[in-house]
Amino acid sequence: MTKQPIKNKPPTDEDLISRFQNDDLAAFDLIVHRYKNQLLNFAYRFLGNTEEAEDVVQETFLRLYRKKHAYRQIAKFSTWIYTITGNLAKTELRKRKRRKLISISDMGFEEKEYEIEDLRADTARDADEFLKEKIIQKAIDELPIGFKQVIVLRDIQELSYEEVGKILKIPLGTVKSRVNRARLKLQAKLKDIVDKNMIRQ
Amino acid sequence: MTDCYKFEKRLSDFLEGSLSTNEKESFERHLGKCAKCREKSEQVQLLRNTLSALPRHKTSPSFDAVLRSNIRREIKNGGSVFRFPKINFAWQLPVFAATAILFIALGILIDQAFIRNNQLSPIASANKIILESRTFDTPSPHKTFQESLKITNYVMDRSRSLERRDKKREYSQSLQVKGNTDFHPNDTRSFPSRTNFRATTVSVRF
Repeated sequence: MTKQPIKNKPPTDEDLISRFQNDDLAAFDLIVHRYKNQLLNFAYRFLGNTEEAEDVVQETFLRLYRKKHAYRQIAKFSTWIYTITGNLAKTELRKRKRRKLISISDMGFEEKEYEIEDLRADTARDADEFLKEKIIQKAIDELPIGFKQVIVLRDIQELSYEEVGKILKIPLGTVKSRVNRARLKLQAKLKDIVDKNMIRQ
Repeated sequence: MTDCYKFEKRLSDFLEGSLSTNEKESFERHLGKCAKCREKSEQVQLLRNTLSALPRHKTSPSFDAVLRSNIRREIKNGGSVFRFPKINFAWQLPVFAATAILFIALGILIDQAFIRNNQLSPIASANKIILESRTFDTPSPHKTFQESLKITNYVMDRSRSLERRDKKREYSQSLQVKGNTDFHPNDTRSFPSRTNFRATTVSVRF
């Protein structure tokens, strides 16, 4: 009973990447399985668009595949892969801005049917809930990039301040004050909703 | 003494319990007196709860199949990207470098033309001239880097023959570069499958 947990302990991310660096493709599949949904959620909350988010995550794994040796054990694997996704998402956002400058037909926000998992499985996802999510996402979309990055990583992905700092390569103090300012900005945007029934649960 | 400004500045520290005991007490005293800060504090706390409880989006059902096909293509391409690893993220750099060199080369060209004639050349009297019009195309993502080098070499060839220049003469010119990058529809968005740009006009003012 005491030995079993050690034996069955799931491999760490660092074990998996090291195995993949030694050409174990099954380890790559495990990494993809472990990270695809959390990176998708991160990219989606950052970009507000499911198609773009999916492209970004695809590209993240392609880069991992191509540049597996670029990863060094000195960094946490999650930090490394989040950094890749974060940079790609930022580039995507810039490209979108450029595209908007060129084409006015691009202004429309395309809605696509999408599978959404509700954490509270017992609760039916009603229209109110859907609307609430849309409004919050819109408020996030409107934040400046710097604020958006920290609020998504800290409050949605729930990473530690230290990890957020490492991903964005900014000092801890800056992360903390930026998160605080981002929260206040978002609170100001969503004030009316918070006041009424949207957020109170 | 905690005022509203200080409270707001360290609201997250307060909510996350990372204040010292003294600071915390001071903040709580302020909360007791200030309805505005109390409301803000409640709202930010509710916001945090809401953000962490937002539905988690998942990849589409075709995600794994698409990834596999992307990787297959990668392998089929003979790992050409491995030979040019920088192409993935720095393909724009050579293009910008080429544009910059083009600028300098054009300056030299114009200057040389004036020196040779020892007078103002007819083109100098014109405010706007067509100097060059050439489109550079790159047909495949993996050729972007080589194509960019080709552009750089093209410009270098034209400036190499002009060795001497008179730096006393002042000139200014502007180059209008029309760029266009297309992406392969099935590829991820980071690879340009076709890049072209055209140098069109140069304005000369004296």
